[in-house]
Amino acid sequence: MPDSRETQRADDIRQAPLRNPRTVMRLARMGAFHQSRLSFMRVLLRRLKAEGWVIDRPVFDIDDSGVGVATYRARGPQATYTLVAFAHQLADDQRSDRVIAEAWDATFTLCDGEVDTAQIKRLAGNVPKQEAGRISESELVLSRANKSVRLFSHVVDALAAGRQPDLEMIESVGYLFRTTAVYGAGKFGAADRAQWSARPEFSGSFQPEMLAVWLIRTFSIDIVEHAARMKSPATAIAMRPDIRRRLGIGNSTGLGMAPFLINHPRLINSWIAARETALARVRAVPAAGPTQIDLFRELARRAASNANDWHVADERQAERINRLRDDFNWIIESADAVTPEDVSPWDSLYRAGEARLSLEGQEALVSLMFEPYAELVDDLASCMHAEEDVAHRIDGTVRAGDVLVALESQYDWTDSIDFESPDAQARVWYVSEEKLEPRLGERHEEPLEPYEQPLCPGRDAVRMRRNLAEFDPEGSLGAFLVRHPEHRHMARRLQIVGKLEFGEIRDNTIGAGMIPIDLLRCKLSFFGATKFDPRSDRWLRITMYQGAPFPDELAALDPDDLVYPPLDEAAPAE
Amino acid sequence: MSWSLGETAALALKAARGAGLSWGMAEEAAGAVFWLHQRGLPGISALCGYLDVCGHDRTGEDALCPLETGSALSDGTRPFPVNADDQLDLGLVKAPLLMLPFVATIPPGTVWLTAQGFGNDVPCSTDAPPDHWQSGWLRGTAFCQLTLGATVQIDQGRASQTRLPDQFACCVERLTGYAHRTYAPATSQSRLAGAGAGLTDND
Repeated sequence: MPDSRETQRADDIRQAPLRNPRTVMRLARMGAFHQSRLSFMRVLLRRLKAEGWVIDRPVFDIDDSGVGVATYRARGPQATYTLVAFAHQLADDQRSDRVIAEAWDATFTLCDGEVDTAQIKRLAGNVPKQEAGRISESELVLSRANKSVRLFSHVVDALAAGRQPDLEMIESVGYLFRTTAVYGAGKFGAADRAQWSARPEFSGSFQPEMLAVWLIRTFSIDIVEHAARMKSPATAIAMRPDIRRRLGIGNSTGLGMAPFLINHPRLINSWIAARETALARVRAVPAAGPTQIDLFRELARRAASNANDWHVADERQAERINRLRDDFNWIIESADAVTPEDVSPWDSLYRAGEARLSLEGQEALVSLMFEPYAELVDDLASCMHAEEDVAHRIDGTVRAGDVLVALESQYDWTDSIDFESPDAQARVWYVSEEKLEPRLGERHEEPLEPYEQPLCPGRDAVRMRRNLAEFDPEGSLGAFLVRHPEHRHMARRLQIVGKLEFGEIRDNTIGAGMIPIDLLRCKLSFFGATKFDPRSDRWLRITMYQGAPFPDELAALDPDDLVYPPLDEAAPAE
Repeated sequence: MSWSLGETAALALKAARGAGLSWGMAEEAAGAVFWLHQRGLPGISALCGYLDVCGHDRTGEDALCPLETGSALSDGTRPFPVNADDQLDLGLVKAPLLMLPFVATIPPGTVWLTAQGFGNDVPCSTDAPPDHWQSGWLRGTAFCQLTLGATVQIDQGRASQTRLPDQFACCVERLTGYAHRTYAPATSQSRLAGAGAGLTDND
């Protein structure tokens, strides 16, 4: 929920009731979320633009084979950050997006402040090793990326020959580099979140990571243009800005990200509550002005064009995209019928959409409805954070009988699940020895149960209910936990999520029918990712910052507008 | 080289679980280690010492677990001193330093933990030299008491540390060994399902 400052400021803002958590917190719906004004990439670029951040490249020491180091310095009103990028030469047989890889085309770290030669030297001994190296509290983010070899080679060849690259090639891939991990918040020695979370430029969530990826995107263009120059200094040209903007940064995301939503109930609550509050505010708008209606109509058409360009091999997602294209036809028709005289037009549109559209379409409509209302939506981004590090002290003095009532009420959605059936517990979340990453196994086929991670709140709630029902209701929770220490994790969780409307996913996270990429997509949509491309039920590729301005054009262009492709998408003449 | 406190707590969680504690109690261990290191106190050493003996009592004495005893105090299910002259004996406790973060939560926040058996009582005053902590609080077992003090035992202003210093490298290594027990051997089935699996990445 919005914090107290927000609540005070928002007193005058009208708000419809929030959607029910029972509707919102379902995996199928969360797996249909789209980027919005509240997505972290957009929040970052709005802030950098508003505050006039200046980005330059103090070091570009890359040799003619493409190996070396470059630095990208971002200077804002109060702070400076520097991305240090190491470019490597990688044999094709070593190029792997797996988290178990040990070498990459490029490796990166985002540093706090300026960097000097000594720091670059220290980082050169560690950053290229990624998880096997160590960074320090002077660094905030550790990341790495691999080339799209096909597109990279094409762009080098074209630019070297003095031609712009082929637009269809650019569109079909969408990036020159894709990251395979972006680590922050204390990982591998980096500064803990507590060290920087109070800085205004990092208000919200994942802002250092988003800054790092945006700067990596600039590096990806610089390195391809450098390669073209090295290949043919006499004829090489730079990429045209409008073509360059079509390139984002790709990302392969797997199960490593999936437990995050379950392990951070306070944070997830803050994200979803901000989004739901934004929707409730827009639905409460009594009448829409012509400017808002026109903008909505235009962006609905541009979002539809985005959906038309969204191609995936995955059958389930391809089917959903087909349906989304139909949904956009309805959204465009409905938007064309909205007039300034309509009473509560957005609430009417949402209600009609809820009855008519697929989940993909409903959530696309939600994101679209935010667009004309920056003044109602954008400030909610500052509420999208939570202190998860604070260990929650269990109040063991509450009556066991009251805890049972709270469990029954908070987890009533488990009533329809028979956890004794094999399908309901078909999966096990565990961490693999191989690379210390979360994975999902088949409980009844592999000997994994002894390694199970506590990532199934529904089942654990049912187990605790069963034991609580047999315990003296007048006894205390503390006494119950002395007898049943195995429920201590669930007891703490109940006390945390009991105060949060949107902190718990109301679905079985270990059932045979659970689709892990729903968890990934929810989180990635809050990042601001587009072009979700499932490669199995457990991992997907996405694109970040496609269409967004580069540092040298941030002052002149509107990053919010560029999220949607222009309607005159036809290639401009060279 | 140093470690962030976030990764130190994450390691403590896995190590405690790997040593056989329930997930909920492992969370208490992680929270305690984090709290202690924020205040410059060697929580990770104490946890190493405790995990080494938690499965089997080498002293032959029936000593208590600092995490279970501490949790019972912070849960509010164990009595604690409420008057200035109350002295509550907790009994023999292993690695008592780990109990300090729990005692600090007891209202009104001025309950003190002291341990006998190391020559003199060992109060956790802010001016105690670092060596004092190493003497017995980390690995030893001690009779512990709670008393009501006039001030907090560990001043909040001391909670300013952000890193685990290099001197704890061997503790990190030992806890990594315990943490390893929570990792399942990779199967070909799981490997085939991870991110990036099943296609060439030279595309």
